[in-house]
Amino acid sequence: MVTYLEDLQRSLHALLAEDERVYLLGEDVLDPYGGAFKVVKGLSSAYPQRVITTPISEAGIVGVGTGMALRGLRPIVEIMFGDFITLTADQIVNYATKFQAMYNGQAAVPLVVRTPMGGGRGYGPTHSQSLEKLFLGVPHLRIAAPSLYHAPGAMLRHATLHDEGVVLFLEHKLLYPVKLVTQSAPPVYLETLPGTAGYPTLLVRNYRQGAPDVTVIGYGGASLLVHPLLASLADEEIRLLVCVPGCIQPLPVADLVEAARASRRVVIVEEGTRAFGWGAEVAATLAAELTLHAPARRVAALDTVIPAAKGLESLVLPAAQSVEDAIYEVLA
Amino acid sequence: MTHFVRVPLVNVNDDVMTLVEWLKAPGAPVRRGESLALLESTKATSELEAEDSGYFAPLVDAGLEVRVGQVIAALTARPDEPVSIPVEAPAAAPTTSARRWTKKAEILAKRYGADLEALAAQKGDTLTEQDIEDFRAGRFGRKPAPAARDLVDDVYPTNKVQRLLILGAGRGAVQILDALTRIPGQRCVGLLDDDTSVHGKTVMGCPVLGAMGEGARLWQEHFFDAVIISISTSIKARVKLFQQYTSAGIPFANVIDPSALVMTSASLGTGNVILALCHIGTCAAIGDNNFLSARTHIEHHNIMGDHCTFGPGVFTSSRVKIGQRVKFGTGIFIEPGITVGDDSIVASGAVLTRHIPARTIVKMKTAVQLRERTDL
Repeated sequence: MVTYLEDLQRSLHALLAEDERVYLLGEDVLDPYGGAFKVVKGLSSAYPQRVITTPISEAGIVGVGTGMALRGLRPIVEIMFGDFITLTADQIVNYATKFQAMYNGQAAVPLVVRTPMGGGRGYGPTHSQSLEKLFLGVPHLRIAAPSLYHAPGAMLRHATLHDEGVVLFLEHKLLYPVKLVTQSAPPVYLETLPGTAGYPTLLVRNYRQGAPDVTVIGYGGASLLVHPLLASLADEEIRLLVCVPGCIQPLPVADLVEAARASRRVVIVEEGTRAFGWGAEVAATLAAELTLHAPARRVAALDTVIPAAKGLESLVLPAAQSVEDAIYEVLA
Repeated sequence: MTHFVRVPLVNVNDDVMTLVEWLKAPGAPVRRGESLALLESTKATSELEAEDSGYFAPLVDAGLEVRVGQVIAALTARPDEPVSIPVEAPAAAPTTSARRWTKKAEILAKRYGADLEALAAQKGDTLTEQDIEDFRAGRFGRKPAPAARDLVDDVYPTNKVQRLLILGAGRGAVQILDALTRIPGQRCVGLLDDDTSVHGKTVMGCPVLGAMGEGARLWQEHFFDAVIISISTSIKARVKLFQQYTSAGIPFANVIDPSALVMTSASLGTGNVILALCHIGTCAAIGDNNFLSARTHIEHHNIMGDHCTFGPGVFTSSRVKIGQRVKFGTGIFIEPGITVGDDSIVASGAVLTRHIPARTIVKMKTAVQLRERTDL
């Protein structure tokens, strides 16, 4: 089985090979460096005309990408660290996502903004964050976040070739070296819901029959926290239904509600800070649709900066233990 | 003392680095602060400084990838001192001690107010979700019920053969089962006994299902229609079981061997065992839970209480009154109109010619005399 990183690399090679409209822009994307996380390694050697290394200006990178998309190309831009996404905000919020409406449907911006999010590597306060919450609620912006259970390459392909809007494409740093889990193997059973086209919602269970005790909802890197619990809690006779949407905005409401209804005990996991986060929106959405047996629990980062020291970092970011504790709380 | 040189964390991006070259020859003296090697990460090449002084002993070849934290060289106190790479302590073995309960069991126990400690002690093995659900349903610690659904009885409920549960699986039970082979309207569906060594075995083909306490659950599951006590040797046990089952609302049956004669106008309570060739005279009234062995004759107009047991061949004459919980031996004759008081015991061979007060032991003094024949 391939790793998350290899799956993305293969997909990018295929995209550039198949479609001349596909361009790749970003900082330090040329070989031999091949990008900070090596996702674009080898691409500049194979397609030197369409892999463009840029000055250190995230606003400029996204602005150029927006222009290329407006003119009929299919650009993918790489923001080296998700933390730098703040610098792209004006281009995304005021331009790229608005043009289709402002030009009354006569303009389309099929732009993909790829960026690695998340901590766990000891990179400190400005290279470890999960800042997608800053873009949650921006109209006409899709935010995709492939997890351990998704095929990130296929999702990137869909975003690049088949999505006519702006896609913020989140890759969790810790997922890159991890082998994908795309096949059921006891005690983990996978089910793919049709979900939003191209960005499937995955249901992952640690039981074969009956109803779940708890529904855990999370995306992207949260899958790494939840995955080991599937086996350990199966051993404790606790049946988990893990719902992992590939698209976190707009919310796949029907998928989330059905998953929550199965147990009516819900834990929502995200790595960003807790206040005003994705989990809050999910909890509010569920509360409007059904009555839970216990208040939904949110597991998230502390509302503070992420320390560089790994020991301290692990205290700020959510851990598998926090998810496990939350599961026991909603079951109590 | 030997100082071991480890690969430092130079770049948080990299867990491995390339050892480009050693800057000292094997055996060379090294001073603290001198450069030992060139290490390359994905971002830069850096020199590895000696943190101690000593004689240089490389343990890894140049050109290889090395892990952060890996021991790659040693600095020894004396030249040419032998060096062995220190063995990293293995991770602590996972604890293998048996869990007393699963997390799910713990959560459910809290939810339902079950005493985990007590249940775990009773089970002696890991408590599971099923155990707590059993506790909640009032069947914790009981063996799984045999199938309570009968393909005939449950489909044709009218006129069905009465299904008996026999309490006690000893010789009394064998006598009852033997009688049942001749009684078309009754059959045994199981036995209970507190002797665990007979659990799971059968008596004349009928299963011993568990301890005496199992009856309530089996009754709830409609496993039987009535119960009968087979124990004849302990009146105390008969009384206790009869009260226990009666108070649980479980009905008793009478089991009467077809060779016995029960005359018209005789009346019987319930829970009585009347074995082969007995005779209950006309207008006799018998209470509950009595055990009459073979060839016991209770004459006309007798009145008998409850919980009495009779050895074989007890003969009463007319109008005898027998109290509660009276135990009779074998071969006893009782004159007309005699009263035998409650809780008395009448030993074998007695001939009762006078009233017996309550709580009396009656024993004949006639001794058997043996002497040699001299007429031969």
